[in-house]
Amino acid sequence: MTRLTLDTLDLRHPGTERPALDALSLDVADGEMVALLGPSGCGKTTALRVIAGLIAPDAGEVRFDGVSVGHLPPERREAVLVFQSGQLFAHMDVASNVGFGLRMQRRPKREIAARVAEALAQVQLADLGHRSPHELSGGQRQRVALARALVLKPGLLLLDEPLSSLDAHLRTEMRALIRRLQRETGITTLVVTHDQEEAAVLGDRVALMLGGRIHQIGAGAELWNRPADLEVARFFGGCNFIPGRSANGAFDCALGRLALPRAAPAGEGCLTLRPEAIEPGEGENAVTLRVIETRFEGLLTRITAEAAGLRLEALMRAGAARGAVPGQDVRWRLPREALWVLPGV
Amino acid sequence: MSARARMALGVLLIAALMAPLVPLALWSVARGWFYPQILPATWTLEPWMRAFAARSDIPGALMTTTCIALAAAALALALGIPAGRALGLYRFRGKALVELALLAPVIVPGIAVGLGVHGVFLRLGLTNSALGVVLVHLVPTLPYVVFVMSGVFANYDAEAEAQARSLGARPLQVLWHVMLPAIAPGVMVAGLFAFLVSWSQYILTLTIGGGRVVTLPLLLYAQAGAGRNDQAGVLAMLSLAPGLVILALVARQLAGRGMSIGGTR
Repeated sequence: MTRLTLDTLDLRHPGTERPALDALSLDVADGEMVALLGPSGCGKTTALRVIAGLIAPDAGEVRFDGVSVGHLPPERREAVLVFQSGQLFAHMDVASNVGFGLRMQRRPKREIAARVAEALAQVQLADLGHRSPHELSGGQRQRVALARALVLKPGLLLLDEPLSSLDAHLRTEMRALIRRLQRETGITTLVVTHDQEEAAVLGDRVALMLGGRIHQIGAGAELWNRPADLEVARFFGGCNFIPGRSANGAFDCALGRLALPRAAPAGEGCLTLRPEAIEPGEGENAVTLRVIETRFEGLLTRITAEAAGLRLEALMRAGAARGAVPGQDVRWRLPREALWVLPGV
Repeated sequence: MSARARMALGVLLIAALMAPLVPLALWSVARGWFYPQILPATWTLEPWMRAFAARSDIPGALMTTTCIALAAAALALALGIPAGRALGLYRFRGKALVELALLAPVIVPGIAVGLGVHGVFLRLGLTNSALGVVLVHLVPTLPYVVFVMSGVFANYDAEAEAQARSLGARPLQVLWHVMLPAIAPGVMVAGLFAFLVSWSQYILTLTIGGGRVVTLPLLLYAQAGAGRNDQAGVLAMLSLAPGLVILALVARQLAGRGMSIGGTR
């Protein structure tokens, strides 16, 4: 379909200190689905609007298939943006909403009817064409919004938080639907979300955006386990940061010498590992710590422990956490594969 | 309050509003109605026949009034919709001042406005012409339109327009297919109000029209002043007609949907 390139986009909203987009660059391959993940206010929605042509960047270029679209108004771009709220037109029924874009192109009535029916069937709303938007549930409205974009067979689909207004069980269903439709149609898709899990499920790749620029892009697991910098690690709930020095596949720090996975960055830096990766017991990279606090968090228990002035937090299932009693020592294993070094921190 | 009491109060209110109109209605179909008769001695349609006779100036005035009111309402909408959109959708420096300036013509007495405008229009050659009257009618009509429309746009989600653009609609298509349908009820109410306000203008029409542009209110004052109660009655009934029709048209909008006239949210 369409390959999307963002080339060092800059944008500052008037009257604000921090830029909304700060030298933002991103490549989305033809037919790929990339999840643009970030906290609210990181500029991800602004980025979508710039791609759709609703806002002009201060500097930089948006290219579709290598050709700059900077001069094109939104209606002439190969991209369709689906708004967070769905934005169904209240004065039209579902079928007219879905057919809106085709009517704007002045397609023949018969073709519009056929394509609208096909698109409604794709999102499993075949019998609701005559309904008015306010008679629909939140999930149905979101699906109509999706059908309204898909019916245009766009080269690039931009989804702004498509699941944020839905209940938890509807989300799972809608997530699967979006994933399936994207695979079937092969439309290049950029989906914006603030939800890590959603990003991991939806995106072929996940791009983490913080403060107007992409900090890291890659497969979901890579961002979780191999963060590029401290901010990325923190965003994904990283809480264990141990200063030290990495050399020859080992990390020297206050806890002793820890074995590192292959390809870990060398030099001065910070060791990080996710709290849920820590396991109780003996083995490679086992350390002794004194338990300070345990906190029940539902499925998991958060245990804070200390050794040599360093604090580590672990998330463990009830069974594994039973051995941890505040004031007593525990042996924890820091699995080699779960360790990662943030250089220069 | 019980339903019956409320009903009684409603009837009383309607009676109080309608009562002054009853003698006017009667005059328009009476011949020789003198004190102390309660009802006219003879009923006749003669005043109406006379009003619409070949030499009467009432049909012409009816036409003039209708055309001026339509033009004034259309012009007020053309100017008031964009102004209302700006006031309803955007926050900008000096917004309160703009709102006050828009409201000013409603506060300042019509005669003062009329005389001031007269001086300007005289220089522009707009006095004694229907065009001048239409323009001066914008003074009382525009504030109504702007305020109704700014209320409508305060409830309007302009994101719908961005969505339409992204779906392939050109700016004019967005205006026609997205904005207008969403604000249509408000436009109708504002337009009808503007029509009525223009329809019943007296002072401004007289000052700027200079007696050359003859509308129903002008004739009504003249006939009432000359003691021609039968013709005044006919004119009063004619003047009342559009108000009643419009009231019937928008009553549902005003009562049923409260203040939320149009909008998409």
